[in-house]
Amino acid sequence: MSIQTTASSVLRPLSFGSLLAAAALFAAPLAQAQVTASEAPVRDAAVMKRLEDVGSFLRAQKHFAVKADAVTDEVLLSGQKLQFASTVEYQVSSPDKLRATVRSDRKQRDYYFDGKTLTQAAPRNGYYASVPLPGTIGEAMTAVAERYELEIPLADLFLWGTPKGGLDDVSSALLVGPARIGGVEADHFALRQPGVDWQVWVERGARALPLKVVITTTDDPAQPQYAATLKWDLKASPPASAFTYVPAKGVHRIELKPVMAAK
Amino acid sequence: MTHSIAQDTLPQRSAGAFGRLLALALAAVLLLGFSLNAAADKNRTVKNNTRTSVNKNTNVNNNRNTNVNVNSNKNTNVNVNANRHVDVDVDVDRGFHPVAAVATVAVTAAVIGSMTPSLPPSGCVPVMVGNVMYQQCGPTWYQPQYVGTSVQYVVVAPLR
Repeated sequence: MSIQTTASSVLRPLSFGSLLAAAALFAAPLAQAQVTASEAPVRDAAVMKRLEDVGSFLRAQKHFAVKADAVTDEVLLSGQKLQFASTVEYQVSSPDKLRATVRSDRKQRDYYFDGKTLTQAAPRNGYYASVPLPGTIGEAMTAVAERYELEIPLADLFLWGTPKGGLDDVSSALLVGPARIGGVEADHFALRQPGVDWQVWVERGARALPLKVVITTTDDPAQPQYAATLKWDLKASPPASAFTYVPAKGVHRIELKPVMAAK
Repeated sequence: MTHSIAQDTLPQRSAGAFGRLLALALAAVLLLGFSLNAAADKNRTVKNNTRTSVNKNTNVNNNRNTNVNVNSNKNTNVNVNANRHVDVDVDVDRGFHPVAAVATVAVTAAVIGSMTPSLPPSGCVPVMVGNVMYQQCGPTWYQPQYVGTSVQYVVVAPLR
């Protein structure tokens, strides 16, 4: 009895103590690992490679059309968010011809770019503005944004796969997992970079097409989002006449106000 | 059973009192309407900062001044949608003309260089002067222009 008692009384504290020690030993590195994981952004090389594939695939398409169904959050000065639906249709002849039709409840805009001139037309208002902009579609989109603060939705479709593709800005890139967009198998990726968190769903297989894009503006506390689902037609061949604007009767030309130079 | 009290009692008032009451009520409604609409106008203003592309092409800060003569007159910004805050009603040519636009225009009509996202709902005629298109709304002349994707009307000095 006395031996057994002694033995067990010795063993028990020992085992408890060793358990504690073991727990402490395991816990310390685990906690450290978790902190490191949450602090250091993960930039998955395979994800970045797939995004580069998207750029190369898009730039390899000579003629195509794509239709986007989109929703945009607009933030009121009070911080309240409103959602607006819109559609964007692009007709493209690479590298320098574009027709875009943007329709929302509040605005209707048509864009024509023929490699020399970019025109913005408002069919309901009967106003248009044309500015000379030689270059590729991507260069024209960059130029109108810089000079006139005119942002054409989903400009990325024409910038990925070019030097202005901006993938170097991505600080975090994750594969979220498999997904299905409009019945098509896709991979869901999540990216972070200064000013935006974004998600893209890329078709699996040889056609590295973005099927859906969600862009979250992170420098506004309300974090408004733009979400677009894309339907691609890689066999479209838009006629040359689609890219040149001919003003209808009663339509007036107005100026596109340039951005003032910073002081 | 639930008739309004106003309907029951109004006919019993004398015509003079009623007339005065009506005038007062109308004035109150107008005043209230104007202030409410002014508030509504501001409440409807959106920041217009949602990104629609991952790549931000704009290297320049959002410092476009939508007011032409901001440096010459310190009062020009009163009640003007400056700072490229675009009203959600911008170029609504689908019959959605908020009274707010009228109130705003009425207040700022004389301020040359100020901007408004919409014209008064009636009384405006397009006028071509040289190659430039204007909208003349009574004594006030506007020149439409694009600010980004939005049509804005700049008040200009009367040309006739």
